[in-house]
Amino acid sequence: MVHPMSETLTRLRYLYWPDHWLGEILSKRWTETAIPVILLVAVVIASGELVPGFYTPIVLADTLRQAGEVGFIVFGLALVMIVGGIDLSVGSIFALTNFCALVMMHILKWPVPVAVLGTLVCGGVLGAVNGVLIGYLRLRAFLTTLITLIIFRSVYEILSLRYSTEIAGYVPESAVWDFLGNGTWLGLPTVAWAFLAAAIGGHVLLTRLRLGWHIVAIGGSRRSAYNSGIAVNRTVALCYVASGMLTGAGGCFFASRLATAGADIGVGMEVLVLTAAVLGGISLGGGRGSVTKAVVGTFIVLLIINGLTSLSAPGGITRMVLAGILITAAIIDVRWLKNRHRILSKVYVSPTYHRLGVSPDCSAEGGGVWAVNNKLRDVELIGLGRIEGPEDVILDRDNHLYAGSRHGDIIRFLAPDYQQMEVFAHIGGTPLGMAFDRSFNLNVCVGGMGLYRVTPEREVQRVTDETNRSWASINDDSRLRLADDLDIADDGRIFFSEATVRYEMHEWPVDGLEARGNGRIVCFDPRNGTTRTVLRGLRFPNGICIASDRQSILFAETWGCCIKRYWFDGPRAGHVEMVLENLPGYPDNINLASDGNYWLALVGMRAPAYDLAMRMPAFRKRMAQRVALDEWLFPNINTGCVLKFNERGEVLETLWDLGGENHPMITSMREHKGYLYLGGISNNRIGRYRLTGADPGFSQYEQRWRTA
Amino acid sequence: MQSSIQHWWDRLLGRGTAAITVPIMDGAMKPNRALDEASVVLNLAGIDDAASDGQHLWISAGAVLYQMDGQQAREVRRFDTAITALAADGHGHLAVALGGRELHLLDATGASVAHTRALGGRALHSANALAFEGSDSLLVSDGSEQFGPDQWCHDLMQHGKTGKVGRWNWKTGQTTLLAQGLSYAFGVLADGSLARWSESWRHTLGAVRGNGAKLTATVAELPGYPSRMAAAQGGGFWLTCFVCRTQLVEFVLREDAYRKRMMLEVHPSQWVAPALSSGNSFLEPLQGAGVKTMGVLKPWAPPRSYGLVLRVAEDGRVLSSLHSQVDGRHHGITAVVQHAGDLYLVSKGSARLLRVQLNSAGDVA
Repeated sequence: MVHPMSETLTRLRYLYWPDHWLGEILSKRWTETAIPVILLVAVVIASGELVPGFYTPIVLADTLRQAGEVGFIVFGLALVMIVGGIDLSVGSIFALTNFCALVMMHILKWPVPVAVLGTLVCGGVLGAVNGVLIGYLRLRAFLTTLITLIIFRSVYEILSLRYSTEIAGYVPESAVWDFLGNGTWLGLPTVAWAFLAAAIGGHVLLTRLRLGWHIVAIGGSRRSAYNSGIAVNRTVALCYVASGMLTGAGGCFFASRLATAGADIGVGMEVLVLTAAVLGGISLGGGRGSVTKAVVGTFIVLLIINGLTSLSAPGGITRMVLAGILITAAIIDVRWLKNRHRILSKVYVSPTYHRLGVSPDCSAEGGGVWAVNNKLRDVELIGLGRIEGPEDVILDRDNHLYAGSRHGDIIRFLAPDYQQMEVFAHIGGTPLGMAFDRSFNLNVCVGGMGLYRVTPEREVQRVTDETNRSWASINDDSRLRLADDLDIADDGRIFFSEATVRYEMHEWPVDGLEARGNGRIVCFDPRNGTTRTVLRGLRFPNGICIASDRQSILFAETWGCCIKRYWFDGPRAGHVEMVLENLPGYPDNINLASDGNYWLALVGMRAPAYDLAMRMPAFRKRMAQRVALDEWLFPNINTGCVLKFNERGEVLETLWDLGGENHPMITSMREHKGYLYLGGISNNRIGRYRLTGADPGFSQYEQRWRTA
Repeated sequence: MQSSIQHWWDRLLGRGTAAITVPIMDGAMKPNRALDEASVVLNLAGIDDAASDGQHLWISAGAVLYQMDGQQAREVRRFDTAITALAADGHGHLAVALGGRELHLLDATGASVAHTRALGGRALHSANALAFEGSDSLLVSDGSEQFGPDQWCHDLMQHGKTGKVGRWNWKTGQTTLLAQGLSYAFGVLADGSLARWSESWRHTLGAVRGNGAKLTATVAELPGYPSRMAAAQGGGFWLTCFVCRTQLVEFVLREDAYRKRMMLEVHPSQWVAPALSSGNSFLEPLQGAGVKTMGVLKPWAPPRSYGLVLRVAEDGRVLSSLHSQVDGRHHGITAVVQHAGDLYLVSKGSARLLRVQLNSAGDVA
């Protein structure tokens, strides 16, 4: 035997350590930004520790000015990268626009607004050269911008040689121009404010405006963007123009600050800017990036460079560090993009410790109420081969039989012989639990969609598809993923179960493997239209039935193998009590029986090997990682049974189909006028079992609403 | 040191020794329904082995030795313990293993004329297959020194390595060991100058030449666990695979903590392990693809039990195969014998003797 102590340790370890957080955090988009931010914090701390006097106001202001100038260029490059291209000519454009601003201010002596505008236009025109070549003529971005880098640089060298002395010979006497270069407002340099404004504008563009969405879409998949009608050529060209203009803005601020047209201006700037963008997390492959990432990347790179400069590192070392960072960031970018979903799929599933009590002996030799029998072997079959996946079945006042199907339909079989079948309503998701309300509306839980209602006129209406988001949850749990079964209180409130908030409907085995309390019970109140979660942390809550006091519900926890009772009204409101525990199988739907007791379907049976695995979470985690889903150890849902129990937790009767030859699985049953109708989510039939000694006039609708 | 790091790394990534891949049944092993369509000769509880002396078909079930008389099984002799292996030569001799612990040479009336309890000085513990070799000796496989023949699953789950194969010369009384330390020896065959045996848990066949030179892994990487063999008309031999491999069992075999607890706490019939038959109880573990969907059990679901017989050429190539897939019934084939132009198969899983007609080339018709 395993030492009880070690099992206790395992239990406590999984009780208190939130394994599922890692996967949920990693599945968030913002983790891609979080990593550069953490890096930035580390660089900030390290710089303060290593470089004396790094965070004095003067140094900080200088860093901010640089960050502003470089940041504009990073924005431009980020746009181009997001749209799926690259712009190597930014350094040359920077030099040329700087020169252009100086000429307008120092030689032509234009007023400041005109000069600034002129510089931006100059940058835009230079960018448009790239834009036309790459966007419209479809040249390769890398080669094209490499060539324009050389051409623009040559033009700059020719011009600066001729005019540099002239520029140096005059200093414009403009307070506005000085304010641009060296002024501060509210303690921050002018350029920092401009940078902030550009950042906000860029963020709004990328996340809120059509053009920004187009840019991201083109970067994500150029062909798909084209096919969906986006003007790809024009948008790409515009990005290069924007890149040129933003570089022009940087050049303008640089000119106003330093007023120099030296030969080395903008040399190597493309590497600096590219490093900042990639380090920030803007993907080289296109389609992924944000303004925040660009800003963070800019600051990291500048802090590192300035730190190295303050430590008097030679220029060669600085460039080597920069190149090293670029290649590392590029590798991480490529590997992360390629492996992200694989890493995520490996860490998301996080099984926990789950120990079930000893299950009762169901063998025929064991005797007693649980002893297996073959009463269901001879059930009549309705719709064999014609209906697929009737999870729940229900009958109306005219004795017609309704069932969901996996094709997203509510199917109706017409009384009295149930041979004629018709599509009553098409919903789209998989209909699961069903219940008639007082006014004959059919309320349906639809997997993947939420709670829906079909009126007697066959109109499909959405009742609710979201609930309040819980603050402690990392995953957004406001949307309903797997509404499962429902029942309706006398005042019209609908209580329904949501089996899991971590997985989709077809992933139920993964939730079973996890055995974490991922499910909840939600209440929709028609009086004010609100939806609130009333119970959470349940292990696959499934069947729900209003109890006899009309103030509480009985609900089944499938992986918990138990039935509990929850009071929503009355003196015990809010209280939860165990009714039936340590079931030998996995409970599903609960419904009324004509004698005042309840029918319960066991969708499958507990296998000892699976129960043992439930107590060994690490084993299950490795199984989830190594073994294909089709080969996983599963709860045995090939055999199930129907049982009758009462509110005192006594099991009164069990009905079995051994081997499941006639009716392989049972997820629900509904008593109606002396018969028990059986549904099963992976069945292609509905069963009809004649009950002996049952009230031949019993109908759930009458019982529920005529007496209420 | 290096190997332990390698082992740890393999376990982390699920590679190398930690890989749980199972060879797929493809090519000559492409599944068919030949075993399901085979004619049922006989339902006989406990049927385990079969042998042919050229004139008669002999079968063993529990402690009883039968001779087939047309469609009827005629009881020849009832022993005190279960017959765990059976062989016949064409010269009026039969050989049986009793309780796994002793070998008896019988004459045609079923009377014992010679016996032994050891192989090369080591006591027999789980003798499970016999084959006559020449006119004076018998090849024997002994599965395990820890577990009896019925507890083969325990041996698998404990990574048993105590199987042995030997030769008993009943005329001189001399016994020799041909191989030992095997991961469950189950099945022997005298194939010309070769003595072949199945090494079940390593999914291979081994062989030794008459001069004592050992051949390793003449047939390897089988999708099932090989068991008893029989010579095939026209060269080569028939090989049964009494159970098949699944990724889950391969995984559990590498999960020591779970495996040990399972052996302690769970009844053997409910282990995550291969079985001769399945679907008898809802307490058996189920695998994902084994869930019945729309009333259908998929034939390609991971096999807890399976029926598989391979026709293997002398050089070890698999030529053809007979299957009973997961949705079939004729699982757990423990013995095969070619007799009077037909192929007789013992499906221990369904307790049936099956017959498949062969064409003139000795292949499945």
